Amino acid sequence: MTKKWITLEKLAPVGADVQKQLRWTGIALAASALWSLRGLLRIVRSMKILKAYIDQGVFSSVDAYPRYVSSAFFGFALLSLVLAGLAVWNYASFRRGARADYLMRRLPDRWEYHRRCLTVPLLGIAASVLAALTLYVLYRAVYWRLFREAAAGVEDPMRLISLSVQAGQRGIWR
Amino acid sequence: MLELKNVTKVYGWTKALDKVDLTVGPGEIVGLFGENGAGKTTLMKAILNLVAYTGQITLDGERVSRKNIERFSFATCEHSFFPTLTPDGHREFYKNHFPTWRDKRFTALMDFFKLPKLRCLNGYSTGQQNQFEVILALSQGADYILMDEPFAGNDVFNREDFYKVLLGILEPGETVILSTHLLEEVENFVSRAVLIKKGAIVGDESMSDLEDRGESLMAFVKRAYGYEPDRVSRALDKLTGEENGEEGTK
Repeated sequence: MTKKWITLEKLAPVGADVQKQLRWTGIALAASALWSLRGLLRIVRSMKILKAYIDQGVFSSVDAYPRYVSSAFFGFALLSLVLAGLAVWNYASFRRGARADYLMRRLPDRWEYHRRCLTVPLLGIAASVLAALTLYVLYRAVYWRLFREAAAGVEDPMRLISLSVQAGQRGIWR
Repeated sequence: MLELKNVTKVYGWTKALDKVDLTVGPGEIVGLFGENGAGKTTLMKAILNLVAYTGQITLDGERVSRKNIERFSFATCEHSFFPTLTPDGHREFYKNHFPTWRDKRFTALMDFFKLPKLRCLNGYSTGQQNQFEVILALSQGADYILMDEPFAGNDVFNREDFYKVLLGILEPGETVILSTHLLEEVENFVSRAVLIKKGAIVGDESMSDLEDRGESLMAFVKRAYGYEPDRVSRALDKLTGEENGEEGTK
């Protein structure tokens, strides 16, 4: 029995440019990752300020970690939405100019139709979620490392972190 | 053997198929006739599982499913090919999905109809697209070939060629269910006529029985459909009478 290899062309609607879909997904992922650097930059800047105040003996506080990255992952969320739209677009592509969906729906391989419509969007969404999670964890590690460095020698350093992320409570903002 | 038992399909308040019972054996060429909206297309889509229905549709005793769906092919006037793909691209796609693909038949039909092989389907004329749609259905290697108004938009010479080619190439086990309005054209092509009206089968006769009775396909259809021969003259009488009456009052 010959093994059937799944080529890239079989992962997108017939006649669609799968390379293009993947390329744009990659570009959007990279752009989302770049956008997320805003969160990291805010962390670095705040920690520098915190350290400067502490060095001068002035009390200061920084935001809790989630506040720094709340908008940093907007790109990934937007990309996931666009990719969900791509899935709809892929399904609709089988109805453009003809009703090729009739053929797709009567293929012996029940997954062929969905594989062609969903693979790139689902892979993209998975990559987007994975990248966002990885960066979230990475930035969090950077946050704590910089915080520990800045608050070195401070008694009970946790009081330097504003609790403003708690519901209904406003913290001290700088 | 394709068997439909008590097949019903409802769209909103409309019964598109109403308790349809039908049996089609191997080698038959069945003409499916009926007015627009009678349920011909829905019947074919139900057979192919393209629409949900109640009742039972079986092929050789087994429900039509992914396991046996490759034994059906479908040519529709809506076209089920890929517009941005060339004929060779279609050939590859079908070969990958239908092990029974008839490459020799495909090549022969493409040559016969002189269809451009390097052009994408969206560059074909409507007539050529219809031809290609039917070529795909015939080349898939299916036992049951369903055709829904496949020649809509083709000229008469084109259609005649097709009937001749079809009769020439069909093998004894291949079954065709052909939905069309072109009664006179397919009279010598079909072996059986099934009439559908408002979703129900209202007539089912073999052409040999009709021949024995000396009844034409058109006469059979009109009779089974309850066609009133004097309908037009009555309407005209009424219309002209109204006009004369109006003139008379002036």
